[in-house]
Amino acid sequence: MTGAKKRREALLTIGYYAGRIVTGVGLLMLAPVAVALLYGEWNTVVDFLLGLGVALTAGYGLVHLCYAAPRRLTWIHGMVAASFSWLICMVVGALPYYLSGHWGSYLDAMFDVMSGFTTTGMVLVQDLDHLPNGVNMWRHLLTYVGGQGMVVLALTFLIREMAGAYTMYVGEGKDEKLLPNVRHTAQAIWFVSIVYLVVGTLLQWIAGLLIGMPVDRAFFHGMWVFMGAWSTGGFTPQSANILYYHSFLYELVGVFVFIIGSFNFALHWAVWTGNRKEIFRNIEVVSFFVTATLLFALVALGLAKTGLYATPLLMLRKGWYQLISAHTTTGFSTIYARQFAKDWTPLALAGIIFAQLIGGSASSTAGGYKGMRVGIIAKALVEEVRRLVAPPSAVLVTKFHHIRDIVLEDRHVRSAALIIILYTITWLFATAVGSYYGYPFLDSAFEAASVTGNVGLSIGITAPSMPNLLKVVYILVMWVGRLEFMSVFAIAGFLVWEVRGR
Amino acid sequence: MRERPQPLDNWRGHVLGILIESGYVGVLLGAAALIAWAVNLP
Repeated sequence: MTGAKKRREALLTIGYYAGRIVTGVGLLMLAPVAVALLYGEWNTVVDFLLGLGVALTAGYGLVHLCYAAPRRLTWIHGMVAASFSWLICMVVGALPYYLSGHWGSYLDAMFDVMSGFTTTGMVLVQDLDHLPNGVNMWRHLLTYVGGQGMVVLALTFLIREMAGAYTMYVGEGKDEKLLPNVRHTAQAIWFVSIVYLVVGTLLQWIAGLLIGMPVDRAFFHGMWVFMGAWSTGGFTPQSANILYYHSFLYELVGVFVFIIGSFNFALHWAVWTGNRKEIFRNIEVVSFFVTATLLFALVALGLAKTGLYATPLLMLRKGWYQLISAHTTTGFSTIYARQFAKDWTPLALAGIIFAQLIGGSASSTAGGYKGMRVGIIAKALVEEVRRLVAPPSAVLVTKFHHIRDIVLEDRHVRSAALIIILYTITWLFATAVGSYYGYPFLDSAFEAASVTGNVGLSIGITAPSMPNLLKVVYILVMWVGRLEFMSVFAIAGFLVWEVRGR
Repeated sequence: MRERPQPLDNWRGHVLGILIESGYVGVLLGAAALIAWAVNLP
Protein backbone atom coordinates (compact mmCIF):
# COMPACT_ATOMS: atom_id res chain seq x y z
CA MET A 1 0.00 0.00 0.00
CA THR A 2 1.35 3.45 -0.87
CA GLY A 3 1.95 6.09 1.81
CA ALA A 4 -0.77 8.38 0.39
CA LYS A 5 -3.34 5.58 0.43
CA LYS A 6 -2.38 4.64 4.00
CA ARG A 7 -2.80 8.24 5.13
CA ARG A 8 -6.19 8.51 3.40
CA GLU A 9 -7.41 5.30 5.04
CA ALA A 10 -6.23 6.52 8.44
CA LEU A 11 -8.14 9.78 8.03
CA LEU A 12 -11.27 7.88 6.95
CA THR A 13 -11.08 5.54 9.96
CA ILE A 14 -10.66 8.44 12.40
CA GLY A 15 -13.47 10.39 10.70
CA TYR A 16 -15.81 7.39 10.79
CA TYR A 17 -15.46 6.77 14.53
CA ALA A 18 -15.45 10.49 15.41
CA GLY A 19 -18.69 10.78 13.41
CA ARG A 20 -20.27 7.98 15.46
CA ILE A 21 -19.28 9.68 18.73
CA VAL A 22 -20.56 13.11 17.58
CA THR A 23 -23.87 11.49 16.55
CA GLY A 24 -24.22 9.98 20.03
CA VAL A 25 -23.55 13.32 21.75
CA GLY A 26 -25.97 15.05 19.34
CA LEU A 27 -28.79 12.64 20.21
CA LEU A 28 -28.37 13.59 23.87
CA MET A 29 -29.84 17.00 22.97
CA LEU A 30 -33.25 15.32 22.96
CA ALA A 31 -33.14 15.37 26.79
CA PRO A 32 -32.95 19.20 27.10
CA VAL A 33 -35.60 19.46 24.37
CA ALA A 34 -37.92 17.32 26.53
CA VAL A 35 -37.25 19.40 29.67
CA ALA A 36 -37.74 22.66 27.74
CA LEU A 37 -41.07 21.35 26.34
CA LEU A 38 -42.16 20.44 29.88
CA TYR A 39 -41.60 24.01 31.04
CA GLY A 40 -42.85 25.67 27.82
CA GLU A 41 -39.45 27.20 27.05
CA TRP A 42 -40.04 27.52 23.31
CA ASN A 43 -36.90 29.51 22.46
CA THR A 44 -34.81 26.83 24.17
CA VAL A 45 -36.61 24.10 22.22
CA VAL A 46 -35.70 25.84 18.94
CA ASP A 47 -32.06 26.37 20.07
CA PHE A 48 -31.63 22.68 20.85
CA LEU A 49 -33.41 21.47 17.71
CA LEU A 50 -31.00 23.61 15.69
CA GLY A 51 -28.10 22.18 17.70
CA LEU A 52 -29.42 18.65 17.17
CA GLY A 53 -29.67 19.28 13.42
CA VAL A 54 -26.08 20.52 13.23
CA ALA A 55 -24.76 17.66 15.40
CA LEU A 56 -26.53 14.97 13.39
CA THR A 57 -25.47 16.56 10.08
CA ALA A 58 -21.85 16.69 11.26
CA GLY A 59 -21.95 13.20 12.80
CA TYR A 60 -23.81 11.37 10.03
CA GLY A 61 -21.93 13.44 7.44
CA LEU A 62 -18.61 12.19 8.79
CA VAL A 63 -19.88 8.61 9.02
CA HIS A 64 -21.12 8.63 5.40
CA LEU A 65 -18.08 10.46 4.03
CA CYS A 66 -15.81 7.94 5.73
CA TYR A 67 -17.99 4.85 5.29
CA ALA A 68 -15.37 3.10 3.17
CA ALA A 69 -12.92 3.26 6.07
CA PRO A 70 -11.25 0.08 7.35
CA ARG A 71 -13.01 -0.72 10.68
CA ARG A 72 -9.85 -1.72 12.47
CA LEU A 73 -8.31 0.84 14.78
CA THR A 74 -4.59 0.89 15.46
CA TRP A 75 -3.39 2.47 18.71
CA ILE A 76 -2.65 5.88 17.20
CA HIS A 77 -5.90 6.00 15.19
CA GLY A 78 -8.02 5.05 18.22
CA MET A 79 -6.37 7.70 20.37
CA VAL A 80 -6.65 10.38 17.67
CA ALA A 81 -10.33 9.48 17.09
CA ALA A 82 -11.03 9.84 20.84
CA SER A 83 -9.28 13.16 21.34
CA PHE A 84 -10.44 14.61 17.99
CA SER A 85 -14.08 13.75 18.71
CA TRP A 86 -13.86 15.62 22.04
CA LEU A 87 -12.91 18.76 20.07
CA ILE A 88 -15.76 18.39 17.55
CA CYS A 89 -18.23 17.69 20.36
CA MET A 90 -17.06 20.90 22.07
CA VAL A 91 -17.74 22.98 18.95
CA VAL A 92 -21.11 21.34 18.23
CA GLY A 93 -22.27 21.21 21.87
CA ALA A 94 -21.68 24.94 22.30
CA LEU A 95 -24.26 25.95 19.68
CA PRO A 96 -27.38 25.81 21.92
CA TYR A 97 -25.44 27.63 24.65
CA TYR A 98 -24.54 30.44 22.29
CA LEU A 99 -28.06 30.68 20.85
CA SER A 100 -29.52 30.99 24.38
CA GLY A 101 -27.87 34.42 24.73
CA HIS A 102 -26.41 33.60 28.15
CA TRP A 103 -22.83 33.36 26.90
CA GLY A 104 -20.93 36.47 25.78
CA SER A 105 -19.17 34.81 22.83
CA TYR A 106 -18.87 31.45 21.09
CA LEU A 107 -15.49 31.02 22.82
CA ASP A 108 -17.21 31.39 26.22
CA ALA A 109 -19.81 28.80 25.19
CA MET A 110 -17.07 26.36 24.06
CA PHE A 111 -15.22 26.97 27.34
CA ASP A 112 -18.29 25.89 29.31
CA VAL A 113 -18.82 22.82 27.11
CA MET A 114 -15.21 21.71 27.56
CA SER A 115 -15.51 22.46 31.27
CA GLY A 116 -18.59 20.19 31.36
CA PHE A 117 -17.19 17.34 29.27
CA THR A 118 -13.93 17.29 31.21
CA THR A 119 -15.91 17.42 34.50
CA THR A 120 -14.08 20.59 35.51
CA GLY A 121 -16.98 22.85 36.47
CA MET A 122 -15.57 26.32 35.72
CA VAL A 123 -18.21 28.59 34.17
CA LEU A 124 -18.33 31.69 31.99
CA VAL A 125 -22.14 31.70 31.75
CA GLN A 126 -23.83 35.00 32.51
CA ASP A 127 -26.90 35.25 34.74
CA LEU A 128 -26.76 31.57 35.69
CA ASP A 129 -29.59 31.99 38.19
CA HIS A 130 -32.06 32.74 35.39
CA LEU A 131 -30.98 30.07 32.93
CA PRO A 132 -33.83 28.10 31.24
CA ASN A 133 -34.36 24.60 32.66
CA GLY A 134 -33.60 23.07 29.25
CA VAL A 135 -30.14 24.69 29.15
CA ASN A 136 -29.48 23.57 32.73
CA MET A 137 -30.40 20.03 31.73
CA TRP A 138 -27.83 20.21 28.92
CA ARG A 139 -25.11 21.61 31.21
CA HIS A 140 -25.50 18.80 33.71
CA LEU A 141 -26.01 16.07 31.14
CA LEU A 142 -22.74 17.14 29.47
CA THR A 143 -20.84 16.76 32.70
CA TYR A 144 -22.55 13.43 33.54
CA VAL A 145 -21.72 11.96 30.12
CA GLY A 146 -18.24 13.49 30.16
CA GLY A 147 -17.53 11.77 33.48
CA GLN A 148 -18.30 8.33 32.10
CA GLY A 149 -16.75 9.29 28.76
CA MET A 150 -18.20 9.97 25.32
CA VAL A 151 -16.35 7.01 23.86
CA VAL A 152 -17.84 4.85 26.62
CA LEU A 153 -21.27 6.17 25.60
CA ALA A 154 -20.67 5.43 21.92
CA LEU A 155 -19.25 1.97 22.70
CA THR A 156 -22.35 1.15 24.73
CA PHE A 157 -24.99 2.25 22.26
CA LEU A 158 -23.60 3.02 18.82
CA ILE A 159 -20.44 1.14 17.92
CA ARG A 160 -20.80 -2.56 17.16
CA GLU A 161 -17.43 -3.21 15.55
CA MET A 162 -14.94 -4.31 18.17
CA ALA A 163 -11.65 -4.41 16.29
CA GLY A 164 -9.42 -1.94 18.12
CA ALA A 165 -12.28 -0.29 20.08
CA TYR A 166 -10.19 -0.63 23.24
CA THR A 167 -7.72 1.91 21.80
CA MET A 168 -10.42 4.61 21.77
CA TYR A 169 -11.41 3.69 25.33
CA VAL A 170 -7.80 4.14 26.46
CA GLY A 171 -7.57 7.33 24.38
CA GLU A 172 -10.25 8.81 26.61
CA GLY A 173 -8.13 8.45 29.73
CA LYS A 174 -9.46 5.13 31.00
CA ASP A 175 -7.31 2.05 30.81
CA GLU A 176 -9.00 -0.68 32.80
CA LYS A 177 -11.14 -3.48 31.55
CA LEU A 178 -13.78 -4.33 34.16
CA LEU A 179 -14.74 -7.27 31.96
CA PRO A 180 -12.75 -9.01 29.23
CA ASN A 181 -14.80 -7.37 26.47
CA VAL A 182 -14.48 -3.57 26.14
CA ARG A 183 -18.15 -3.18 25.16
CA HIS A 184 -19.25 -5.05 28.29
CA THR A 185 -16.86 -2.86 30.29
CA ALA A 186 -18.57 0.24 28.88
CA GLN A 187 -21.98 -1.23 29.76
CA ALA A 188 -20.81 -2.03 33.31
CA ILE A 189 -19.61 1.60 33.75
CA TRP A 190 -23.03 2.88 32.68
CA PHE A 191 -24.80 0.34 34.88
CA VAL A 192 -22.97 1.53 38.03
CA SER A 193 -23.53 5.19 37.07
CA ILE A 194 -27.24 4.77 36.38
CA VAL A 195 -27.90 2.86 39.62
CA TYR A 196 -26.17 5.66 41.53
CA LEU A 197 -28.10 8.23 39.44
CA VAL A 198 -31.38 6.78 40.71
CA VAL A 199 -30.24 6.44 44.35
CA GLY A 200 -28.41 9.80 44.47
CA THR A 201 -31.20 11.78 42.76
CA LEU A 202 -33.73 10.30 45.18
CA LEU A 203 -31.65 11.29 48.24
CA GLN A 204 -30.86 14.76 46.90
CA TRP A 205 -34.56 15.20 45.97
CA ILE A 206 -35.63 14.35 49.54
CA ALA A 207 -33.02 16.78 50.92
CA GLY A 208 -34.45 19.47 48.59
CA LEU A 209 -38.03 18.78 49.71
CA LEU A 210 -36.97 19.05 53.36
CA ILE A 211 -35.72 22.61 52.80
CA GLY A 212 -39.04 23.58 51.25
CA MET A 213 -38.35 23.45 47.51
CA PRO A 214 -41.35 22.73 45.23
CA VAL A 215 -41.57 19.07 44.15
CA ASP A 216 -40.52 19.51 40.50
CA ARG A 217 -37.78 22.03 41.29
CA ALA A 218 -36.43 19.80 44.08
CA PHE A 219 -36.39 16.87 41.64
CA PHE A 220 -34.52 18.65 38.85
CA HIS A 221 -32.10 20.34 41.24
CA GLY A 222 -31.57 16.97 42.94
CA MET A 223 -30.80 15.26 39.63
CA TRP A 224 -28.55 18.06 38.38
CA VAL A 225 -26.62 18.36 41.64
CA PHE A 226 -26.23 14.56 41.65
CA MET A 227 -24.88 14.69 38.07
CA GLY A 228 -22.43 17.44 39.06
CA ALA A 229 -21.33 15.46 42.13
CA TRP A 230 -21.14 11.94 40.67
CA SER A 231 -19.14 13.05 37.66
CA THR A 232 -16.94 15.14 40.01
CA GLY A 233 -17.93 17.98 37.70
CA GLY A 234 -19.04 20.75 40.01
CA PHE A 235 -21.84 22.34 37.97
CA THR A 236 -24.92 23.41 39.92
CA PRO A 237 -27.97 25.33 38.70
CA GLN A 238 -27.24 28.35 40.93
CA SER A 239 -24.37 30.85 40.87
CA ALA A 240 -23.88 30.52 44.65
CA ASN A 241 -23.16 26.82 44.01
CA ILE A 242 -24.02 24.53 46.96
CA LEU A 243 -24.07 27.52 49.32
CA TYR A 244 -27.42 28.44 47.70
CA TYR A 245 -29.23 25.61 49.51
CA HIS A 246 -28.06 26.53 53.04
CA SER A 247 -28.65 22.93 54.08
CA PHE A 248 -26.25 20.67 55.97
CA LEU A 249 -28.13 17.59 54.74
CA TYR A 250 -27.92 18.73 51.12
CA GLU A 251 -24.15 19.20 51.51
CA LEU A 252 -23.74 15.85 53.27
CA VAL A 253 -25.55 13.85 50.56
CA GLY A 254 -23.37 15.61 47.98
CA VAL A 255 -20.16 14.70 49.84
CA PHE A 256 -21.09 11.01 49.84
CA VAL A 257 -21.88 11.13 46.14
CA PHE A 258 -18.73 12.90 45.00
CA ILE A 259 -16.34 10.83 47.11
CA ILE A 260 -17.89 7.61 45.78
CA GLY A 261 -17.94 9.16 42.29
CA SER A 262 -14.19 9.68 42.48
CA PHE A 263 -13.58 5.92 42.93
CA ASN A 264 -12.16 3.77 40.15
CA PHE A 265 -14.91 1.98 38.18
CA ALA A 266 -12.89 -1.24 38.60
CA LEU A 267 -13.22 -0.77 42.38
CA HIS A 268 -17.00 -0.22 42.14
CA TRP A 269 -17.30 -3.33 40.01
CA ALA A 270 -15.16 -5.42 42.39
CA VAL A 271 -17.13 -4.34 45.48
CA TRP A 272 -20.48 -4.75 43.75
CA THR A 273 -19.70 -8.21 42.45
CA GLY A 274 -18.58 -9.73 45.74
CA ASN A 275 -14.99 -8.60 46.39
CA ARG A 276 -16.01 -6.63 49.50
CA LYS A 277 -12.54 -6.38 51.06
CA GLU A 278 -11.20 -4.52 48.03
CA ILE A 279 -12.31 -1.18 49.50
CA PHE A 280 -9.91 -1.61 52.46
CA ARG A 281 -6.97 -2.87 50.43
CA ASN A 282 -7.06 -0.94 47.16
CA ILE A 283 -4.00 1.28 46.73
CA GLU A 284 -6.11 4.21 45.49
CA VAL A 285 -8.50 4.11 48.43
CA VAL A 286 -5.61 3.93 50.91
CA SER A 287 -3.76 6.69 49.05
CA PHE A 288 -6.89 8.92 49.05
CA PHE A 289 -7.46 8.33 52.77
CA VAL A 290 -3.86 9.22 53.66
CA THR A 291 -3.53 12.32 51.43
CA ALA A 292 -7.01 13.63 52.29
CA THR A 293 -6.30 13.29 56.01
CA LEU A 294 -2.84 14.88 55.81
CA LEU A 295 -4.01 17.73 53.58
CA PHE A 296 -7.01 18.40 55.81
CA ALA A 297 -4.62 18.70 58.75
CA LEU A 298 -2.71 21.32 56.68
CA VAL A 299 -5.91 23.21 55.79
CA ALA A 300 -7.22 23.00 59.37
CA LEU A 301 -3.95 24.37 60.77
CA GLY A 302 -4.01 27.17 58.19
CA LEU A 303 -7.59 28.07 59.06
CA ALA A 304 -7.20 27.69 62.84
CA LYS A 305 -4.74 30.61 62.78
CA THR A 306 -7.45 32.90 61.40
CA GLY A 307 -10.12 31.92 63.91
CA LEU A 308 -12.55 31.97 60.96
CA TYR A 309 -14.31 28.73 61.82
CA ALA A 310 -14.57 28.59 65.58
CA THR A 311 -16.17 25.16 66.09
CA PRO A 312 -15.18 21.68 64.80
CA LEU A 313 -18.52 21.42 62.95
CA LEU A 314 -17.93 24.71 61.12
CA MET A 315 -14.37 23.62 60.32
CA LEU A 316 -15.74 20.42 58.81
CA ARG A 317 -18.53 22.16 56.96
CA LYS A 318 -16.27 24.77 55.39
CA GLY A 319 -12.66 23.50 55.55
CA TRP A 320 -13.14 19.78 54.99
CA TYR A 321 -15.89 20.31 52.40
CA GLN A 322 -13.74 22.53 50.15
CA LEU A 323 -10.72 20.21 50.67
CA ILE A 324 -12.61 17.04 49.73
CA SER A 325 -14.34 18.83 46.87
CA ALA A 326 -10.86 19.77 45.60
CA HIS A 327 -9.32 16.34 46.25
CA THR A 328 -12.09 14.48 44.41
CA THR A 329 -11.79 17.16 41.66
CA THR A 330 -15.47 18.00 42.05
CA GLY A 331 -15.38 21.77 42.57
CA PHE A 332 -18.55 22.21 44.62
CA SER A 333 -18.11 25.03 47.09
CA THR A 334 -19.89 26.34 50.15
CA ILE A 335 -17.96 29.61 50.29
CA TYR A 336 -17.71 32.47 47.80
CA ALA A 337 -14.76 32.32 45.37
CA ARG A 338 -13.09 35.48 46.69
CA GLN A 339 -13.22 34.14 50.26
CA PHE A 340 -10.34 31.84 49.30
CA ALA A 341 -8.24 34.90 48.48
CA LYS A 342 -9.51 37.22 51.21
CA ASP A 343 -10.13 34.95 54.22
CA TRP A 344 -8.03 31.80 53.77
CA THR A 345 -4.33 31.75 54.65
CA PRO A 346 -1.62 30.69 52.13
CA LEU A 347 -1.12 27.46 54.14
CA ALA A 348 -4.79 26.52 53.75
CA LEU A 349 -4.68 27.46 50.05
CA ALA A 350 -1.57 25.28 49.60
CA GLY A 351 -3.54 22.34 51.00
CA ILE A 352 -6.30 22.96 48.44
CA ILE A 353 -3.80 23.38 45.57
CA PHE A 354 -2.06 20.06 46.38
CA ALA A 355 -5.44 18.33 46.72
CA GLN A 356 -6.52 19.66 43.31
CA LEU A 357 -3.34 18.39 41.70
CA ILE A 358 -3.48 14.92 43.30
CA GLY A 359 -7.13 14.36 42.36
CA GLY A 360 -9.19 11.17 42.53
CA SER A 361 -8.80 7.65 41.17
CA ALA A 362 -7.63 6.43 37.77
CA SER A 363 -10.41 5.15 35.46
CA SER A 364 -12.95 7.24 37.33
CA THR A 365 -14.74 10.49 36.59
CA ALA A 366 -12.03 12.43 38.47
CA GLY A 367 -8.92 14.24 37.20
CA GLY A 368 -5.47 15.07 38.60
CA TYR A 369 -2.35 12.92 39.12
CA LYS A 370 -4.66 10.14 40.42
CA GLY A 371 -4.34 8.16 43.64
CA MET A 372 -2.88 5.16 41.81
CA ARG A 373 0.17 7.11 40.65
CA VAL A 374 0.69 8.84 44.00
CA GLY A 375 0.45 5.44 45.71
CA ILE A 376 2.95 3.87 43.29
CA ILE A 377 5.46 6.70 43.79
CA ALA A 378 5.06 6.40 47.59
CA LYS A 379 5.65 2.62 47.41
CA ALA A 380 8.72 3.17 45.20
CA LEU A 381 10.10 5.69 47.70
CA VAL A 382 9.68 3.24 50.56
CA GLU A 383 11.37 0.54 48.47
CA GLU A 384 14.33 2.85 47.80
CA VAL A 385 14.73 3.54 51.53
CA ARG A 386 14.52 -0.20 52.28
CA ARG A 387 17.16 -0.81 49.62
CA LEU A 388 19.50 1.68 51.35
CA VAL A 389 19.34 -0.11 54.69
CA ALA A 390 19.18 -3.69 53.36
CA PRO A 391 22.33 -5.79 52.74
CA PRO A 392 23.57 -5.59 49.11
CA SER A 393 22.60 -9.21 48.42
CA ALA A 394 18.99 -8.77 49.59
CA VAL A 395 16.22 -9.21 47.00
CA LEU A 396 13.45 -6.72 47.69
CA VAL A 397 9.97 -7.24 46.34
CA THR A 398 7.31 -4.54 46.77
CA LYS A 399 3.68 -5.15 45.93
CA PHE A 400 0.67 -2.92 45.60
CA HIS A 401 -2.94 -3.97 45.60
CA HIS A 402 -5.38 -3.00 42.89
CA ILE A 403 -8.03 -5.69 42.42
CA ARG A 404 -5.14 -8.16 42.83
CA ASP A 405 -1.61 -8.02 44.23
CA ILE A 406 0.79 -6.58 41.65
CA VAL A 407 4.59 -6.65 41.95
CA LEU A 408 5.95 -3.11 41.68
CA GLU A 409 8.18 -2.87 38.62
CA ASP A 410 10.26 -0.05 37.18
CA ARG A 411 7.80 0.39 34.31
CA HIS A 412 4.99 1.20 36.79
CA VAL A 413 7.15 3.80 38.51
CA ARG A 414 8.38 5.32 35.23
CA SER A 415 4.88 5.59 33.80
CA ALA A 416 3.47 7.13 37.01
CA ALA A 417 6.38 9.57 37.32
CA LEU A 418 6.09 10.64 33.67
CA ILE A 419 2.41 11.51 33.94
CA ILE A 420 2.94 13.34 37.25
CA ILE A 421 5.76 15.35 35.67
CA LEU A 422 3.59 16.20 32.64
CA TYR A 423 0.72 17.32 34.90
CA THR A 424 3.10 19.46 36.93
CA ILE A 425 4.59 21.10 33.82
CA THR A 426 1.06 21.82 32.52
CA TRP A 427 0.10 23.35 35.87
CA LEU A 428 3.24 25.53 35.91
CA PHE A 429 2.54 26.64 32.33
CA ALA A 430 -1.07 27.64 33.14
CA THR A 431 0.16 29.40 36.29
CA ALA A 432 2.72 31.34 34.24
CA VAL A 433 0.09 32.47 31.71
CA GLY A 434 -2.20 33.66 34.54
CA SER A 435 0.71 35.54 36.13
CA TYR A 436 1.60 37.06 32.74
CA TYR A 437 -1.86 38.63 32.61
CA GLY A 438 -1.27 40.25 36.00
CA TYR A 439 -3.11 37.95 38.37
CA PRO A 440 -1.33 37.39 41.74
CA PHE A 441 0.92 34.30 41.67
CA LEU A 442 -0.97 32.39 44.37
CA ASP A 443 -4.30 33.10 42.66
CA SER A 444 -2.87 31.98 39.30
CA ALA A 445 -1.45 28.80 40.85
CA PHE A 446 -4.81 28.01 42.50
CA GLU A 447 -6.84 28.54 39.31
CA ALA A 448 -4.25 26.66 37.20
CA ALA A 449 -4.35 23.67 39.58
CA SER A 450 -8.12 23.74 39.29
CA VAL A 451 -8.13 23.54 35.48
CA THR A 452 -5.21 21.08 35.30
CA GLY A 453 -6.88 18.68 37.75
CA ASN A 454 -10.36 19.24 36.20
CA VAL A 455 -11.60 20.50 39.57
CA GLY A 456 -13.61 23.69 39.03
CA LEU A 457 -12.99 25.57 42.28
CA SER A 458 -12.28 29.20 41.44
CA ILE A 459 -10.47 31.91 43.31
CA GLY A 460 -12.11 34.48 41.05
CA ILE A 461 -9.97 34.53 37.89
CA THR A 462 -12.38 32.61 35.67
CA ALA A 463 -14.94 35.18 34.54
CA PRO A 464 -16.30 36.35 31.18
CA SER A 465 -14.00 39.39 31.39
CA MET A 466 -10.77 37.34 31.58
CA PRO A 467 -8.40 37.57 28.56
CA ASN A 468 -9.42 35.44 25.56
CA LEU A 469 -5.99 33.82 25.30
CA LEU A 470 -6.24 32.70 28.92
CA LYS A 471 -9.64 31.15 28.12
CA VAL A 472 -8.06 29.25 25.20
CA VAL A 473 -5.16 28.09 27.41
CA TYR A 474 -7.58 26.89 30.09
CA ILE A 475 -9.68 25.02 27.46
CA LEU A 476 -6.55 23.22 26.20
CA VAL A 477 -5.34 22.46 29.72
CA MET A 478 -8.74 21.00 30.71
CA TRP A 479 -8.73 18.83 27.56
CA VAL A 480 -5.14 17.66 28.02
CA GLY A 481 -5.69 16.99 31.73
CA ARG A 482 -8.83 14.92 31.14
CA LEU A 483 -7.40 12.81 28.32
CA GLU A 484 -4.13 12.34 30.25
CA PHE A 485 -1.73 13.56 27.56
CA MET A 486 -1.12 10.44 25.50
CA SER A 487 -4.06 10.78 23.10
CA VAL A 488 -3.32 14.50 22.69
CA PHE A 489 0.30 13.62 21.88
CA ALA A 490 -1.11 11.07 19.42
CA ILE A 491 -2.91 13.92 17.57
CA ALA A 492 0.39 15.84 17.37
CA GLY A 493 2.22 12.73 16.14
CA PHE A 494 -0.52 12.01 13.61
CA LEU A 495 -0.39 15.56 12.23
CA VAL A 496 3.39 15.32 11.85
CA TRP A 497 2.92 11.98 10.05
CA GLU A 498 0.30 13.55 7.76
CA VAL A 499 2.50 16.53 6.89
CA ARG A 500 5.84 14.75 6.56
CA GLY A 501 4.45 11.52 5.16
CA ARG A 502 6.22 9.32 7.73
CA MET B 1 -17.10 -18.97 22.93
CA ARG B 2 -18.92 -15.66 23.30
CA GLU B 3 -18.02 -13.99 26.59
CA ARG B 4 -20.84 -12.76 28.82
CA PRO B 5 -20.87 -9.94 31.39
CA GLN B 6 -21.30 -10.83 35.03
CA PRO B 7 -24.96 -10.84 36.06
CA LEU B 8 -26.31 -7.34 36.57
CA ASP B 9 -29.43 -8.39 38.47
CA ASN B 10 -27.76 -9.22 41.78
CA TRP B 11 -29.58 -6.44 43.64
CA ARG B 12 -28.61 -7.60 47.12
CA GLY B 13 -24.95 -7.43 46.07
CA HIS B 14 -25.33 -3.96 44.60
CA VAL B 15 -27.11 -2.57 47.69
CA LEU B 16 -24.38 -4.07 49.88
CA GLY B 17 -21.79 -2.51 47.54
CA ILE B 18 -23.36 0.95 47.92
CA LEU B 19 -23.46 0.54 51.73
CA ILE B 20 -19.81 -0.54 51.89
CA GLU B 21 -18.72 2.42 49.74
CA SER B 22 -20.78 4.79 51.91
CA GLY B 23 -19.20 3.25 55.03
CA TYR B 24 -15.77 4.21 53.73
CA VAL B 25 -16.90 7.84 53.36
CA GLY B 26 -18.20 7.70 56.95
CA VAL B 27 -14.78 6.57 58.23
CA LEU B 28 -13.05 9.37 56.28
CA LEU B 29 -15.50 11.89 57.73
CA GLY B 30 -14.80 10.54 61.24
CA ALA B 31 -11.04 11.00 60.78
CA ALA B 32 -11.62 14.59 59.61
CA ALA B 33 -13.92 15.28 62.57
CA LEU B 34 -11.12 14.17 64.91
CA ILE B 35 -8.66 16.57 63.26
CA ALA B 36 -11.19 19.43 63.31
CA TRP B 37 -11.79 18.78 67.00
CA ALA B 38 -8.03 18.58 67.73
CA VAL B 39 -7.15 21.92 66.08
CA ASN B 40 -10.05 23.61 67.87
CA LEU B 41 -8.93 22.47 71.32
CA PRO B 42 -8.49 25.53 73.56
